[in-house]
Amino acid sequence: MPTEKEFVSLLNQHQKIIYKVCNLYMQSHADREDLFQEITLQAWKAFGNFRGDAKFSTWLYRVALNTAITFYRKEKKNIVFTTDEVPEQSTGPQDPIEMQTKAMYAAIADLSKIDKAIVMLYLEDYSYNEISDVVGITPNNIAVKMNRIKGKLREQTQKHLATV
Amino acid sequence: MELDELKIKLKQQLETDHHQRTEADIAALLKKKAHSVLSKIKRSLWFEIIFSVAFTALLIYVAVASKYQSLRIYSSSFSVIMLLITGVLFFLLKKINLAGSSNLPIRENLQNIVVLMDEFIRRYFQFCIVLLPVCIIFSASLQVHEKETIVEIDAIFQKIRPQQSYKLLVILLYVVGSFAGLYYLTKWYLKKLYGNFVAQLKEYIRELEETKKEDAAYSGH
Repeated sequence: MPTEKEFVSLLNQHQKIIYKVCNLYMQSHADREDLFQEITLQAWKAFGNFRGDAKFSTWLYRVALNTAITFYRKEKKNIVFTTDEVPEQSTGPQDPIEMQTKAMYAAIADLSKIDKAIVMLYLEDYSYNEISDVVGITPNNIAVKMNRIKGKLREQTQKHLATV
Repeated sequence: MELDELKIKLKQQLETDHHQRTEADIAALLKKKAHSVLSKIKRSLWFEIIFSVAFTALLIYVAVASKYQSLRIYSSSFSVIMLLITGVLFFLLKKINLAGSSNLPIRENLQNIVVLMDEFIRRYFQFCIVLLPVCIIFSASLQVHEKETIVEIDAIFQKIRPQQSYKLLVILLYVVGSFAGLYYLTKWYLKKLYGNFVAQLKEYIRELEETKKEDAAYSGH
């Protein structure tokens, strides 16, 4: 029987995962806080099913992404995500790499919730097999989707850069 | 630049705006209320179960205490129906508890939620639509066969107008109006509450299935 202490300790070590998912799926600080709480609760509820045969991080990604995708709240006006809302890094705004990163980040924010999940795991260097375990479609399908996503990102990044 | 070339930068970007929480902060979060759609449905089901039990108790009381035979039959019959409804609500609650685990693969989890929500919406709609005509027809037939005069009901009709044809028209308008009102109100309410959300989840499933079909077609060539 898993204890609350055990769960809290594990989650504390892996809380960055939840933050990454919250940052990817929510734009405002308040929404990120709400999602963080929801993911924590859902992970605690599901912790009894964690067998330890998978890595805790993979298991947590699965719970966090499931929660973010199905997060249910009262309809709000859609907030348009612009490059201005991307958290600032230390270097100046004229740095081309920085601008590229901002544009790519904004392009990722425009993706569908499913595509965001795949990109998130891809950024974490998960293999197609591992991504397929989390998403629930075959590694081949993941490869097809990933190719398509890369194309979309390339196109969107150019558009975002053109508007800067 | 491509996604692969910006991997590290993007990972850093995602990790910003991150303030470390302590174990005490995390433990405090576990005491709060969940807002997932299944948690909301569960709360809604519990509310309906409590309401059904309370209403059944009231019906049983009327069935025992009323001096009118029609009311006694009506109340006792409906207390049985309410018990059946409570049973179905418990069954739905059990299904949600069993299937609503968020550590499944994304596709399977979405499919589970959609199946459960579709069933919940269907059952809710069925109950609302079936109960009203059953209630009206049942109560009207019992009223016709009632030996004693129910003073309260008669008083209502006396106030409207004493003519028989007018009474029938009022009843008919009441039945049609209530039925149409309930039908559209329930549809609107369910769509507003869950309909758009279910449609969105179905769209995600379709998005996942789409690649599967394309991949199968591509492999076949």
